[in-house]
Amino acid sequence: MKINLQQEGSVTTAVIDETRLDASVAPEFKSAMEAIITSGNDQLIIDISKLSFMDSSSLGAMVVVLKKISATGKMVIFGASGTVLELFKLTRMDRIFTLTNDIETAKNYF
Amino acid sequence: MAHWQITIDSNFSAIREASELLQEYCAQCQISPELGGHLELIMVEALNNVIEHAYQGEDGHKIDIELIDETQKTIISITDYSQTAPSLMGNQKKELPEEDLLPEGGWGLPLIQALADSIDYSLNSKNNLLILTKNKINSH
Amino acid sequence: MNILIVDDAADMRFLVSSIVRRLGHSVTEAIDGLDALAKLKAGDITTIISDCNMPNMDGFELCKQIRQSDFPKYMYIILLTGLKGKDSTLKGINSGADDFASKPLAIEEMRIRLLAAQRVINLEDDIAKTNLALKIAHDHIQKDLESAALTQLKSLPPPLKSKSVSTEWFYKPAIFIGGDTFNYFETQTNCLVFYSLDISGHGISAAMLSMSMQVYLGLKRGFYGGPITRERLPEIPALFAKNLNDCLLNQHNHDHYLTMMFGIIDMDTNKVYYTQAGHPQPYWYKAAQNTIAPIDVNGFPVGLVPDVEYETEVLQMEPGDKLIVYSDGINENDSLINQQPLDGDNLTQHFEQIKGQSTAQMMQSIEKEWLSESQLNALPDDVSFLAFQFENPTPKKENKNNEN
Repeated sequence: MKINLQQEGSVTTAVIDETRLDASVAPEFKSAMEAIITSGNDQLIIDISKLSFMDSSSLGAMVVVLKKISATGKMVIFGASGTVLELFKLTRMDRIFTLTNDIETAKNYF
Repeated sequence: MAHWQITIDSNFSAIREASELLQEYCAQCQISPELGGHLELIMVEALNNVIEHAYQGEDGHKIDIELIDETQKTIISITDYSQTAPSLMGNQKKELPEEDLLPEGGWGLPLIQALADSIDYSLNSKNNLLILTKNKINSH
Repeated sequence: MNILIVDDAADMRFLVSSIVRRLGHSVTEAIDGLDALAKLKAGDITTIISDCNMPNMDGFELCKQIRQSDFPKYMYIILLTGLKGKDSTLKGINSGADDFASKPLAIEEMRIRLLAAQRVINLEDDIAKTNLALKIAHDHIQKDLESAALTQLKSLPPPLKSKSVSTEWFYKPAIFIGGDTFNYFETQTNCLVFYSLDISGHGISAAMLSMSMQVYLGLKRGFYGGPITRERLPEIPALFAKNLNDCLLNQHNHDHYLTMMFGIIDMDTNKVYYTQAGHPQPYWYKAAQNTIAPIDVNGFPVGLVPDVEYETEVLQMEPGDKLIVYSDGINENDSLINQQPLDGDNLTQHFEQIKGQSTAQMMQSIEKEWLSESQLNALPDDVSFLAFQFENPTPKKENKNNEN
């Protein structure tokens, strides 16, 4: 699993450099994100614009990440599209996550 | 009519491979990205469910996957060889978990129900066959 | 690996191709057996995954065609069989398939089967490389042997034409170079020393000993027990054999022994003083009676038994007589004339047929009429003949001058 971190002021962007998030990588994704948060990056944009597929187990991992960060910081999800965006909508989790397709808008949340 | 059939082992990497193969196949058959994405999500959620419930997370079992693409509809059949009755049994609608409670799972079956137009079962002593149909007209 | 996927169903072909590509291989596709054969000829393909049932040419026939063809590399064939695969499997094995995968395809199974294919192909590659190295080494040795054979032939003496005696010979080694050898040389005293040797066994080791003997026997005058004078002719052949026997038995670095015919012809009188040591009995053509027959003599081979005694025999040759000395290599061949082994009475009968010929003609007859070309190219043992033709004994003028 490749995640590239970009720092801009206090905001960290975690670019998920993968095309798929599914049950085979969800645990790895979860622990990698937890480590990123634990090391002090709690103003976080997760860039999932490269994802063409995501399943519900990965969505569960996202929720765990969201819960962890909510204690001290904030998280925005950038770039969900197609089936990935549909997954958020069908599960109504689009109401829970902050989703945006515009990077400037994403940055303005912080 | 296009026909696609493979057998995978009961682990999540194998599901990932099957899912990628399905994506390639849909592109090849000029199935729309939207329909392709739905089929992929239906299949992956159903397969995750087979591993988690039918095989209790155990690797080393077989799962047969078959896809038949017709003019009006696409049918995905998934066969497992467990003795566990499928958790999708029955026609009662599975409700989505309450989003405000920040659920970490439980979306699989509601997603399949939401995306597929019909869900059928064929059970015998040797295997469980799950047949998921997606209509092309009036689909989501 | 570059893998050829053969299936008439486009769906199946695409699925197999996708799976195979994902496993890290490159793919070429064919729609039936005929198409597959054409693509095999064009490309660098090592593995074929083929369906069984196809129009034009099915998977079984494709297997057969591939096995009958002469591809530079081994083609590993996996046949795809249906659920009731047992009949197809047996048929596939018969046709030359290496492995089978059942439909529906299992990804993990295909991964493992392709690993097996890779192993076999690597093995075949290694064998091909080893064979090439062996061929290069073999060609090298063959060239060396051919050159050695030329050297050996050059070491044999040219035909001799003196007023009293002339010689002709025929020599053909079993594999390029042989353990047979012979030589003759004239002495200052108008004598002709000759020997015909057959080192036990054949091949390189025998040939090397034979070559060293050729040099050794000419120079090592010690074997003769002193100068070759007319008075000593009755004792030299037996003494020579005894000395050589002692010498060979004292050399522990080889296991060879030899059979030999050693003789000295007094060309003043055409008397032949000789000793026979395990060599085949020579043929004597008597011109006056017009008969040819083997001479009944027997001695021990040289270098086999210590302290054996050898005898010197004497023959008086008359003008027109012939003496034919040979090694036992000829005995292992069937005659082209009557398909019987060229030994014993049959050999005598063969000589009977050519007894009137000149020695040169006789050598030609042996080579061209007794043996076929294919026999000559695959002799079980070295074949050598040395023939003497006797004329009027003619003392050398220098001798007369000396006497005067």
